[in-house]
Amino acid sequence: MKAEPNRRDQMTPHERRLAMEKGERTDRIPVIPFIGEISGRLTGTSSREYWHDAGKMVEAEIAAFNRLGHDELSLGPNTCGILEALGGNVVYPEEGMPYFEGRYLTDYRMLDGMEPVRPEQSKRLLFFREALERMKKAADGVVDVAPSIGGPFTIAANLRGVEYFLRDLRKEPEQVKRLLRLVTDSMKNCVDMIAPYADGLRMADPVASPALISPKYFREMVYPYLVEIMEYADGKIGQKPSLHICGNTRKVWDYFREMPIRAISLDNIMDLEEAKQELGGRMTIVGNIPPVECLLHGSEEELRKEIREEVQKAAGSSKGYISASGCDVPYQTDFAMLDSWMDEIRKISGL
Amino acid sequence: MSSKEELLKRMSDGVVDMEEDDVAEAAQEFIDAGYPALEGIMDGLIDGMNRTSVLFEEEEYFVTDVLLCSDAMYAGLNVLKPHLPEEDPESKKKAVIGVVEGDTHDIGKNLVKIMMETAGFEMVDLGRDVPLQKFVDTAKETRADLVCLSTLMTTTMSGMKTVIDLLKEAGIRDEVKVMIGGGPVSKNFADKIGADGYSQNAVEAVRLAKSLLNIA
Repeated sequence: MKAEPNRRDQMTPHERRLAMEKGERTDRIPVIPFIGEISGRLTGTSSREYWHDAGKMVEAEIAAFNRLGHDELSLGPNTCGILEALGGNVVYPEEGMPYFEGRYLTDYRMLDGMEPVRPEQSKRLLFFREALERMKKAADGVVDVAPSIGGPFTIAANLRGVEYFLRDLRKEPEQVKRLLRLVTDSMKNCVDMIAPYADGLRMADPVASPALISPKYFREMVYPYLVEIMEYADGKIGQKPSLHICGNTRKVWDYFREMPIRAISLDNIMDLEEAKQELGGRMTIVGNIPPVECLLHGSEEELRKEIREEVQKAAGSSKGYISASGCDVPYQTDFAMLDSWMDEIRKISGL
Repeated sequence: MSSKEELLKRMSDGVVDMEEDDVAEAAQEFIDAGYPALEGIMDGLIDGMNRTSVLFEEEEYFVTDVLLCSDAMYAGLNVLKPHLPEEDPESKKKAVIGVVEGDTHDIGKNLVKIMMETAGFEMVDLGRDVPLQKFVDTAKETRADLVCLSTLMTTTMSGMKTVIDLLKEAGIRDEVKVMIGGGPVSKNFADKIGADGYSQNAVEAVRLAKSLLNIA
């Protein structure tokens, strides 16, 4: 199964991305719905199978692409894969998104015996390499492949147990930094593994949200490690990563401006117009259809209206705009809503 | 030796400043000096948590800070609580709280629990990934006034409606108020599934709980 260019479009997603980078005209606004295991519904693949069978995972992603013609393919290792490789426990429900269970790092002394993860020693990471290799081949140059990895802060927090980790920021900052070092070095090894198959990199760091931590901790415990891995990825892949952080991130936009971010993906509670003014000069604005209110529970008309309003707010941003969901598309979302989304974007450009 | 006011201030400040050990120490001195435990809790510890709530609402404090403040509050509470006179268990409003089945994110739920406990509610914490029927059974057994449901995941949101349906089936829907919260949840969703209220954060949850039960 290979990626087929969409008949209504005049450019392939790959061509569109290149044109956007050069500031040239594109046939339409790019669209990235954050989908994953939900694609398995198109091919009769359960969520658990999706995460454990590289062939089925890629088949599902290509099926979604050939139906929607959206602008980027992605897959893990996300936070889950790297967490598992480091010893954490991830539960894969039959239907639905994976989640973390328990806490692995119950004592910081465990770090004494831990080494940065190497993909060749981790079955879980090798699974993602296989899936990526297949996906890159199936994408066939039509559409870019941008694997997704979690941010160091989020991975570290889940390895330790988020509530403990948040307390440690104040109580044991030196141990937190040791852990972040181990995680960041492990991630670099992951980037090495990913790089040959990647046209870009997506990063998501949900626990680094200002809803949970202060800007002070963002500066000390998030920013340096995130920038380090972003710069590393830029060097290896030749493309700065995109970044998603949940919640109201307004307080850390000053840091965003200083980071090597290609595209910033904003939570649906953020105002795209403000983002365009404040961040648009440095990075592509990505966002931000409300996943629950709009995609899961909204009507088709409400969705189309939301898309038009967002396009009006963000289009013309100097580094471009990508229509995307404000966070992951909920698993039970009707796929027809994604069809309508693509249709509306194409209609706006007269396609 | 410190005066009563000094000790109360030390407890309150200790909570706000997240100084667990100092709060416990001040609480012990408070008891040793023969002052009433209830006063230490109300005018020391809870005063500190109330100040913390204000700082949280003003976005001066973050979740990390509230967690550490509450650790300090509980350190003091552990010292003072054994010295409380027996109280009438009927007088306290009771709330069952938990994260619905399929979801293990519980920071939000824990914050709500802390704030509501501080505000004088008796909290029955069912933890996370709680089977839906368990909310109903526990509410019935404990004759709860409130059921508080939390989730961060879209896949488990619908469980909240199921709990409400199960409460109806058990014939106790009119005896409890249901409040919901969590990332994907909204006021709209609460109305849609027939919950009594939605709150966006832990401080707001206390206000909501009080208004649902008509208490000051």
